Amino acid sequence: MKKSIISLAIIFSCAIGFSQSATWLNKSQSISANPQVNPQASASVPSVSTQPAVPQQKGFFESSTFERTADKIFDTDKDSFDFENGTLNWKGKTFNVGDSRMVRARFERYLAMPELSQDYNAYQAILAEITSRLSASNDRLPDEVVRACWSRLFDAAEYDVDGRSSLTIANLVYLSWRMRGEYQNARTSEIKQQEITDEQKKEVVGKAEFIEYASDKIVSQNRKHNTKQRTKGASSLAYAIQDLDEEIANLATKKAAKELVGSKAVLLFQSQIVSFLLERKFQQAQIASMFYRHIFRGSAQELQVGKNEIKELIPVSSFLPSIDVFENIATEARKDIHDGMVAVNSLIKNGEMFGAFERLMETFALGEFDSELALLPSEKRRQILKIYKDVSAMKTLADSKDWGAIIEILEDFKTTAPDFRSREVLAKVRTAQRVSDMHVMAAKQAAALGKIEDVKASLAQAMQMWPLNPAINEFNKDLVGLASGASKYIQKFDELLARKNYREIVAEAPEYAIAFRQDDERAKELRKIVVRISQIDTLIAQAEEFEKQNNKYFAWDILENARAIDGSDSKLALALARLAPEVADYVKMLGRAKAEEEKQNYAIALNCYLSAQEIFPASQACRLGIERVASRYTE
Amino acid sequence: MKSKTTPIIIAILIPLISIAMALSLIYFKKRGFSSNPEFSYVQYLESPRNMSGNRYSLKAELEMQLADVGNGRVVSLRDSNRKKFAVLIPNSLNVNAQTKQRYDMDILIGKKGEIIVESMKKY
Repeated sequence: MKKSIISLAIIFSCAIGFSQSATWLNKSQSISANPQVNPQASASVPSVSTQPAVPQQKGFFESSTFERTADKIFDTDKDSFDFENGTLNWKGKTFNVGDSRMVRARFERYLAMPELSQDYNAYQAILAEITSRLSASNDRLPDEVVRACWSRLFDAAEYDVDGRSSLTIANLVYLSWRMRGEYQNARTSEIKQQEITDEQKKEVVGKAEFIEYASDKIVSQNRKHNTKQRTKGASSLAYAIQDLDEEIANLATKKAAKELVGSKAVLLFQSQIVSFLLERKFQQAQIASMFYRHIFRGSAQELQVGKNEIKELIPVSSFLPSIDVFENIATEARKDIHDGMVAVNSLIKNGEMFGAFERLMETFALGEFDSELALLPSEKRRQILKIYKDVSAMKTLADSKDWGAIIEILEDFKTTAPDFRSREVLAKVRTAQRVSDMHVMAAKQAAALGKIEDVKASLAQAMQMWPLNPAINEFNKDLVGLASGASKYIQKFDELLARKNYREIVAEAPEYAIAFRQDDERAKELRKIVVRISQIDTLIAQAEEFEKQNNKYFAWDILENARAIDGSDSKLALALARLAPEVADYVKMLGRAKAEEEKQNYAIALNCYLSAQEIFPASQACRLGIERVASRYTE
Repeated sequence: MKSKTTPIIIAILIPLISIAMALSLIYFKKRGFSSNPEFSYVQYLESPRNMSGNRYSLKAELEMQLADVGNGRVVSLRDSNRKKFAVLIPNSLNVNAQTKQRYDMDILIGKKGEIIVESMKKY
């Protein structure tokens, strides 16, 4: 008895669990936006009732899962890629990388490109030589050394991997030197002008002093001789002063020209470094910063251009940008890129291709223009490109709900990317397929009961969940075939009915239902058969559940109920035959009780029922039998 | 002249006779108030019709009333072997049968296997 109660509790729990799942499914559907779906559609399991079974409505399996999977392409927590704004957040620094479509295109292009044909190590050796000689420890380098480093930039520019960025730096350095020459010329010109101005000043002073002296003499002679002589040379002084003003103006102009040349060189160089950094060309930014440090010294180390851009890049309020900071950022970024590529190669070596793909995406976001990425062998790149395309295809397929094609890709992933989280995706796919199949089943049941509107609704829902569900196609074909062969089905139905072969009728119930659209009598008979077989199937399923729980007498009792519906059912007979040896004592006694009851030996039947009840106290068959025959004990 | 041994014999016989009477009383009490053979439910279940028309004695505990048929009550019993079966207690017996009480009964097996109580006594 206790076991029976536990079994019942388990069944109810399962039922509640299922209904909860259905509720959750429906909730998920309401979240996924699709205004065409009927929100009031209910969820239930196929039942023995006369109503057709209606499975969960619409799909909870929207493409969000694939969105998540596919969007990891450029959206990892590690590098915080913002698709909306096209920015990359790396260690508190924000880079503008362009819109996601363009980044994806560049990533695909990178994966499709052949590997380097030139000696990458030779190229890196040149850059290493330059950075080593220009490093901060070598302060006050002679111009010859800087010039030697500059000439090596032309060697580096010969390599394809360089992308001629070394040439850009070389030109910049050359321009700086040329401007330094111009600066020297301007300075010489300024010195000469200073001398001219000084001479002019002396002349003016001399003339002024002479006029003052002559004036004093003339005034004393005029008093002595009572004459009216006047001082001469005032106009000459005025002209001299005018000339001095001109020379001073010339000096100011030459000073300004000199300063302008100096500032222009600094501004040009700093602009290019900022540009390199913002474009994530870290190696170029690093080398350019080093050259800058040796070409310009002192106050020129302070940043004069791109302050706003740099403040956006490094959002710290009290930050004072200088050229050294650029070098540090570039060095740190290059280390991250190097670590990323080491991880990618390690994952490839271990066969974890999907992990390698994810790490490569992260590294690409930061080090897109770094030469180290170009080192990845083209064969590996092609493998990763295939994974990338498959993941992108899965996203598209999920949008179009082509679950079959997704399963094929997942199958392919078993070999190409065994570390891909296939189970998670597969579980969702299977669920979507199952829900669609349930809708098709519901459509068939509705067809069996002649409910054409329900058939349409169920098929529409099945289509919505899985448009390419082969079961829908088969069902449609059957329907088309039925429309033309109704008479054939009527004949077949009558024959099977005469032979009481109800199972075979139920197997083709939807077809019969369509064929009997105009035949109410047969449709009614078909409906009865379908309901009866459904009830028997449900009871058999319940009995199997009890049997699994080792509650065999209870299982038998349920099969007895099924036998009461149709004792001739073949599936039921099989179930009874399988279980009978397990409950032989009870079956024997119950059988005898029924036999005696049929013979109207009620007293003996009653005692047999009582004996059977002793074996299985919870027996419903015994209880009903006792109630039936006890009052007829003396008949 | 009276024998000296006579009173002694009488004195011995009186307790012996008393003991014999007591033992016989206990024996008959145990055997029941009937002389019918004891009812075997196992045999009944094997072939109830073979026992049709026979009378048996039965000691059993009344368990529950199953039905009230016009001429009596059908009740379930549990015998000394804990076997459960049904008997008819006719109204003509005019007994106040109680559940959970043990009875010593004389029973008759009917033509269709029905077990009819002919007399019953609580014990």
